[in-house]
Amino acid sequence: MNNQSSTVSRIFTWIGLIVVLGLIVWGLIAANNKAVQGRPKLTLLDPVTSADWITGSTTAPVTVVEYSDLQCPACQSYHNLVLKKLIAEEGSKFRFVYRHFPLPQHMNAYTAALAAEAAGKQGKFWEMHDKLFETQKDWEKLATSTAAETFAGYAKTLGLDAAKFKSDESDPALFAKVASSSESGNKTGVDSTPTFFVNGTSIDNPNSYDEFKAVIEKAAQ
Amino acid sequence: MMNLKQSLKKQLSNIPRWLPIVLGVIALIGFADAAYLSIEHFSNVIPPCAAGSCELVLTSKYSNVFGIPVSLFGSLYYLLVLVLVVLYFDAKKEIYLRIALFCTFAGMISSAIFVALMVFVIHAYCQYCLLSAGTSTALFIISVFALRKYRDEVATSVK
Repeated sequence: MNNQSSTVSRIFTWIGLIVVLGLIVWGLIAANNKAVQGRPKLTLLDPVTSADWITGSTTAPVTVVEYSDLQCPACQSYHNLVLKKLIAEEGSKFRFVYRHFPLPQHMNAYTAALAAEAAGKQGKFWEMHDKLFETQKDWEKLATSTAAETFAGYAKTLGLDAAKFKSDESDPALFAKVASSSESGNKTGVDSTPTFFVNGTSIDNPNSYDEFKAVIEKAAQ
Repeated sequence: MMNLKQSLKKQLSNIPRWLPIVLGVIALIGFADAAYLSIEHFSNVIPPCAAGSCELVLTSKYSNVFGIPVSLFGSLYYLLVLVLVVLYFDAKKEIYLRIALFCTFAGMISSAIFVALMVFVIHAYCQYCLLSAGTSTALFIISVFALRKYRDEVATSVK
């Protein structure tokens, strides 16, 4: 009898511990989500210029600007699950602008941004941007030098001039371009990726394709 | 044999009951702090910084080891101490408490290294990291106190 009750109390002790820890983690995640969703709206400081990477319609009344990081898993999910389809199917309704905001905790994000820019020098920015997001899992954990070699391989697959790609990658002008995009994000108050601006005002990140589509349709009215 | 049993019992009773409880509570605070930073890391958010420049600390190259954020190691450390303390109460075996007490040495050394990095290398502070340094220092001080008690008991029993 005594043994039984002590077994019961032992089970309760451990269940209690798991419940307490679970509540703490759940509370922290909820607080984090609330902080992310309830952030004050930011205003885009740097207007879209011809120096930006723009796709979709150039005449549409809606402009979506994304500050993004090629190594950020959330940006990758948005790209693969939402943006790619959105641009393909609704691309006539908005123009999409990509700006680099490589986060320092992602060690290959800057190199990836340079690879996309170097591909851009040969007219294939968006192709490389897509490729890098699609292959993110393959290179995110590589040492930076190995990642650079992997990117050179992608450049070859995309039919780019390998020698030019390599020399462009180390071009100080491209470094400066990525740095100034990142600085533009900092100045605007961007503190996480991806951050989307619709017609100059930041939005709470939509949770699905349909939500994102609705945001664009609303902005078009 | 009887002597050994008695001495074990005696040692247990000589460690004040509040000690492992306080150890557990502090470990729980440390866990919440470190878990918060880990969650922020994985959701790509830099947490609000009241003072100092915590974004510099939390995004520095010292903030992760092999791509794993230091805060995740911290969370696991506090979780380990907490589980050992509960295990001690649950199984009533002193060995678990002893392991927990020795674990705090590792926590103290890691915290000292991180504080030194903030002061001498990064030149920026982050309140979450300082809180963690505080909790691991508290765990360490309590552990030294408890281990001294053990030592005194061994000394008296030898007499």
